[in-house]
Amino acid sequence: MSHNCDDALERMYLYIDGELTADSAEAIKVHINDCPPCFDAFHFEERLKLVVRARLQEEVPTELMIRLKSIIRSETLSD
Amino acid sequence: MADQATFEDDAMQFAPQLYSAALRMARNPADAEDLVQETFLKAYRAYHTFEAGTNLKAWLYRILTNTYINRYRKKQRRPDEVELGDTQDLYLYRKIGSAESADYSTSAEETVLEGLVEADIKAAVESLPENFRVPVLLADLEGFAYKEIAEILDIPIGTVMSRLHRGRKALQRELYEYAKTRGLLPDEEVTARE
Repeated sequence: MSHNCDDALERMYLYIDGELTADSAEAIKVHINDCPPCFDAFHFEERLKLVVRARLQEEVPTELMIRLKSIIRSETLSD
Repeated sequence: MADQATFEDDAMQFAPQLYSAALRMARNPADAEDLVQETFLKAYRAYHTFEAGTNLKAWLYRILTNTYINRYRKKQRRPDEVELGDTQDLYLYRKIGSAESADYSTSAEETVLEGLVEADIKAAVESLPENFRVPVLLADLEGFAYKEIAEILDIPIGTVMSRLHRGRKALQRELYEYAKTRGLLPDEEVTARE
């Protein structure tokens, strides 16, 4: 583990979440492309974030959408 | 100022996403539907205070999370600020270890990522204490920026970062347990990365 690895891992979530400046993100990108252990770790965390997002998607019940519209419309009428 | 007459056109498109988040907050469909209904009713009534052209999605999530947190905290005897035990960084990744599976085309990491089903991930998220679960949902499910999450939850950005970090580590600890139960791991005790 080099100093660069520690630095990259410390800012891993900032990088994955797109919270770094372009320069800082580029510096990390250069490091991970050159460092297989960091590349693997970053790749895993990025994939995990995508998997979590994909598997938390829900189908909204049609009845709920209908109810929301009718709530808004009855509010509009009572204004 | 936003015009109430355009509320339906402006806001309804966010209902399906709000429902996905509400279900992980409330943890059951009936309460989640209630939460979304109350959110839309409050949003409609307050729509004249919404500044047109600013972030409507974040504004709706602010109402959703406030509604949820108020309800949730009312039910709790000792509300708020649960702490999590410490977990090392890259918890799941390190636990999976460096062993490749016999089938060389699939890495041990992919086996876990592909093998964790929807039910596992949902249950793992729902196991997180509320003050960690909500920031994780806002970042991972909705993709909000840290600054937006800070505004939605009305907490400093440093607090967002630390809750997100600790929440994600706790989530990985839970996911590891599901992966183990499903037999998705190589001989983890032997191959765990140093």
